[in-house]
Amino acid sequence: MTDFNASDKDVNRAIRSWLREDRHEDASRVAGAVLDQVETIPQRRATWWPARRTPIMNKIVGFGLAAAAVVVVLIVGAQLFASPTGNVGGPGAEPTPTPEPSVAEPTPTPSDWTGLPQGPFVMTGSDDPVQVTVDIASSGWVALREFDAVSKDDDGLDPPETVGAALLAWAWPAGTGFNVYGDPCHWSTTIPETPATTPDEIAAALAAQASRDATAPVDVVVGGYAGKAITLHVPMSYEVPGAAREEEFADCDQSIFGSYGVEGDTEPSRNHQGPGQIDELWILDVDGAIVILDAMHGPAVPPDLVEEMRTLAESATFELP
Amino acid sequence: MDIDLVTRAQRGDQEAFADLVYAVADRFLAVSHRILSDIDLAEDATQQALLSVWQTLPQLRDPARFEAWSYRLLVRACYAEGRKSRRWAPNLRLLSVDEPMVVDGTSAVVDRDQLERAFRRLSMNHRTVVVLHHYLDLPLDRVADIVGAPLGTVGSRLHYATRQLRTALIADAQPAAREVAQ
Repeated sequence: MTDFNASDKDVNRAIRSWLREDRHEDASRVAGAVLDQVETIPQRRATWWPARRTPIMNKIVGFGLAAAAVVVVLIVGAQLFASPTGNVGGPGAEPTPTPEPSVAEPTPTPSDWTGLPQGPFVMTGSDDPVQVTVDIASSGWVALREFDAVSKDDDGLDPPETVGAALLAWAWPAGTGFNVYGDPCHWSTTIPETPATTPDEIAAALAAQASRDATAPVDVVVGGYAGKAITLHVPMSYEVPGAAREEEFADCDQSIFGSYGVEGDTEPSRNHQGPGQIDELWILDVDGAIVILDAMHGPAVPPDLVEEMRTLAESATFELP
Repeated sequence: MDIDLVTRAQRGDQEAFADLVYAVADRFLAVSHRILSDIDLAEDATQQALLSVWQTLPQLRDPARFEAWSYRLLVRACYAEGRKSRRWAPNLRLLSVDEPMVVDGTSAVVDRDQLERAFRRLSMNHRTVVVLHHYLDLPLDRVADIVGAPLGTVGSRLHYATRQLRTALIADAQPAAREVAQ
């Protein structure tokens, strides 16, 4: 007999006993279904890097990238098949000849991943409206061409844990309208009625954003071009220890904390990677085109590296095609 | 959990991930079955959670926190499945918790049925806390970590769930008791 009036302890005991009854669950079918899908589902890599939309990409560039991707596949495939461990024909099979790629080398070149040489480095792509060149003054910087960025000490972690830092150099054509969201967390519902088009307008709108704090914009000149500098922060209040980025920003629109987008796009161009992230922006007017240099780091990044990145940004020179 | 296994799976090692899946799948299914009270929904939630584990594993900063992190994904998957299903309309008959009630002549089977019915009447939030605490034996601070709620909130949920279960058990048992009284 069970007397539920006795105490919560009795209820708890009944609950535990009931929960622990064998219910004959067998997850082998579910496990099999999951493992069948794993090969076709890519993992989301831990990375600082935002998926930047490139509105200026044209079809020719698109085809060029596709061709480069084909070359990458060919080379990787060739390496796999040429590898002693990649012999899929069994012990007696003849080695498969290595196909020779017949088209241009893909980018990035291997040297990009082992470290950029010291000296001038063009960060932007050939299709960008402004060519941005920085002076690499020390070893350890690597290029991420997909994002028009260079990074150093990237450990694959997001802020606040990462000790790595990166500089982005993004350029947009004259007349581009920037949707600087009223609230980076609720960006989809705080798109301004009138997009910003000048460094002053962009910086002022960033400084006024809700859900974050920012420094007051100041005048700057980089490479002979004037603009505004501002430092943005992602509040530490979003921190969920051990959580993935999407979980930390789960309360934000589409789990994205986004600063700005480009008029006509439906998602932010610039979204942030974790609580405590710091973005030092130089927003410049380069003969009408807008260039944003974004030095991104976090609270764990050594001050020397932050200072080195500032120097790198301020070394930028600009050239219009 | 074997941290080396987690680390290898984070780097895309599918064999390591397969080992991880077989290590956690039964437990995942058991937990989701208890939260959702429906084996089909539980299988869907388990599958979704395991796929989420694979996809987002590289973003887990500390492999030592795999267990709590993966349970968090599982709980989210359960919530998603629960939302798809509209079987969880609250149907609680509230009685005063101070009302004395002795369930007379009950067997273990009767208790089990009463619990089953009472448990189904709990909200998803309450069921989740009850399962994580009473089935997985997790302390409340770890439950709070998994469900993403403050410790005090989790304590309140557990307390409230216990009261609701107790109340519902009494309500379910009343007709039988009246019959006995007659």
